[in-house]
Amino acid sequence: MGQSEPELVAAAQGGDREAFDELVRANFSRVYSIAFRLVGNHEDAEDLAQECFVRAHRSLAHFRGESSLATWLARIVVHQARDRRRRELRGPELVALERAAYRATPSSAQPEQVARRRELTATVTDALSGLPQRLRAALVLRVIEGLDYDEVAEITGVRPGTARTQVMKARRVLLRVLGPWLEGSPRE
Amino acid sequence: MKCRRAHSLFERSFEGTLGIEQAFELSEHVRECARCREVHDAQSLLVETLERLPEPPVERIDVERAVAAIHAELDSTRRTSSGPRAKPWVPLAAAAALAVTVGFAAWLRGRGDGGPDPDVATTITPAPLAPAEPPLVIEPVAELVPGPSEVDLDRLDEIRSRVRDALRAARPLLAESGAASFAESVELSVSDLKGWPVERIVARLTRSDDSELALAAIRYLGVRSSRAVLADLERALSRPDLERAGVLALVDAGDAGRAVLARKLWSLEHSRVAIDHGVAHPTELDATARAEWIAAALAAAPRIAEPRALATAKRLVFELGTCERRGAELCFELVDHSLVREEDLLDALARTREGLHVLEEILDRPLSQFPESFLLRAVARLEPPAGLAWASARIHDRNLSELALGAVAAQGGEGPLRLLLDLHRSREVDEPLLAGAWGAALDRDPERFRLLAVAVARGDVDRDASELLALLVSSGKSAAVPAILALLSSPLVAEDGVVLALLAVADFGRREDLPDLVLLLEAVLPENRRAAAGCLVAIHSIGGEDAVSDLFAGSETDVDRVLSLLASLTRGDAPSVVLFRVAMHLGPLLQTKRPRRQS
Ligand SMILES: [Zn+2]
Repeated sequence: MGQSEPELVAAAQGGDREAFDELVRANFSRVYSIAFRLVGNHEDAEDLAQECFVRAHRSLAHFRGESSLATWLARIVVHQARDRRRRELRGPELVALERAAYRATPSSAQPEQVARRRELTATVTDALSGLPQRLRAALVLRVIEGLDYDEVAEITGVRPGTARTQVMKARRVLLRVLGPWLEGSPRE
Repeated sequence: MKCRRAHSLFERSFEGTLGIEQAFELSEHVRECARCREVHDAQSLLVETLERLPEPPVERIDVERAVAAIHAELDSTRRTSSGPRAKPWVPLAAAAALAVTVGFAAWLRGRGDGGPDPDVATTITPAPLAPAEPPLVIEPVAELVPGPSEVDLDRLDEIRSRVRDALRAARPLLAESGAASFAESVELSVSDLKGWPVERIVARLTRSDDSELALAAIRYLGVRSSRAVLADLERALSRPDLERAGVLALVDAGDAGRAVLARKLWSLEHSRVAIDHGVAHPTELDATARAEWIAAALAAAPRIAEPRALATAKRLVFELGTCERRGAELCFELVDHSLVREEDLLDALARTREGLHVLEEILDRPLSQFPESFLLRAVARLEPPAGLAWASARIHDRNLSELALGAVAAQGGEGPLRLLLDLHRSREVDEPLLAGAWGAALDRDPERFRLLAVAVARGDVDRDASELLALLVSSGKSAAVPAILALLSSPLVAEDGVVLALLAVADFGRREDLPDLVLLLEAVLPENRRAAAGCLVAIHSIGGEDAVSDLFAGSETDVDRVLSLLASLTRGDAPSVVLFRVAMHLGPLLQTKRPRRQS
């Protein structure tokens, strides 16, 4: 309790480590959630979230409150995820997409809808992880986190129109992967 | 609609920015076009799957461990580098703090809570691929309806037919005297069956192929509801012949039943029925209860703007307009709902009798949880007494300026006009924005402009007459002419302004302005020939030659008068543009008059 977030920000900017810790506690789970959507597993997400706060601490003096703290942190974590992906990149995007397409062929051995649904979810998760990072970030922030395009643009560092195009591209890629599921899907 | 257009609408529906009308348009096309239906199905599938993606496992986070790790990392880098710049940063801190509060509050509002909500994925519309709806928690029947300890199976059939007969016999009462007396009548007929699981038997009858019987059973359960039968009522919703009865029964079944209905609403094939009978149902539901029901239904809405969901949301919001105070409050609370259009909320708000009060209460509070842009639109629509001051205080906020000016323009009385005049003088507001507000205020009520102009012309109001004149002229609106003419008779208006104003009146004046113009002409003719020329131009432009002829009708020497007027104009210092226009207008007139005089 005690101080409000703005007070904490001001205190942390003044070098108060306790205040900064409070900000971490208040924002960690959201940052983690975004990271998880971007990297797809707990360990990397936790790592990224921690890194995000380390970086945030270093740049705290540059935080002028032009965007909200939440947006600012989101921007940092999205950039980190992209950097990390770049470092690791050895063509896994294509591989993941192909794998998704492969898995996307519905198996007739599992007629139950529950199983089908679970498999579909897995397919989309895979396809999502196979998306180029910038498309993925835009899609995650817009469709899953429910931010508006201005916020998405602010976080990913592009113009709102570009954010929009990226979401559209992501959608097209995912729709392609889903194609095989549509044949024979029950229509109400 | 062309498929190409359908595709662009798909994209917008995917991003949740599809308007209601477009949603209808799209749904029409999808019904008819198999190819687009496929795209539509694919998209629905994708959206549903995205929404069902597993939530991040936030429960695995150990924040304290993370904090410690962050510390360790910070300390290790501090040793190796110059360390973090922990420069105190006082002057900007306050601004930063404010921005953070606002942004953070907005974020909280958008999220509904502080973190990812594990329920979100499960409260979304059931997917087409979803298995049968999960049944409600059903308590064991035995606990609710104590049966005979040893069921006499031989008698069970007899009991069943007794129940069936009771339902059939009481059925006409449903239409005649309502669900309550119907249920009472059934109860009476089977009152000697105490100890038998009558409710369970009725519940089984809800699945009967005999629609009438199933319907009666459903309505009975609705009134005599227990949680045990909600699942039976819910099941009835999927049978077309029982849907209406199911909706009514769930409404009768109280909060629990209405909660089920709120959830089902979004997947019902005919949600209109659910709304008609769930919200607009003439039962004992009062306005507050209906408002809460609508709130519950919208809270259970899917996040993606599918045409049907949009239509359903629109209809629900419409009903808020009949829900009095609570309805008005909800109009504000639903601003961020992704399926709800602001315009529909404002409409509903304007229809509630309490909208004004609620808005004023909100404006009274120093901090509001609602977006200011929406409040400004509400101020413009509802016009509360406090609205003018509230809106005017936001005019200098760059992001709200246009809205605030619009809200000011929408207010009644002269107050807004004086405010707009002052803003014009101060030059602190963008000229086009101000002109827009001025024009809107004119459209709303031109008479007050004339009154203000009269007061300014007389010097009763401390405002610059020339400035007011310039604003009125630049509006280019016919509605401004009476006010312009009222000002022109004032000595306070600069002479140049008069002539230019009259040329403007010539452009957009109307026939009903002619009498005022004639009066003005007579008033200015002796001393101010430039103004007189302007009047003549305006009269001729609006009323044609006849109007000018009428001016000189009683005079033998009409042409002389016109000629002398023109002569004095050419002698005088009238701007050449005025002379040109006078010549254009009056030249032909003179030519037609001259022969008569010469003859
Ligand atoms: Zn089509």
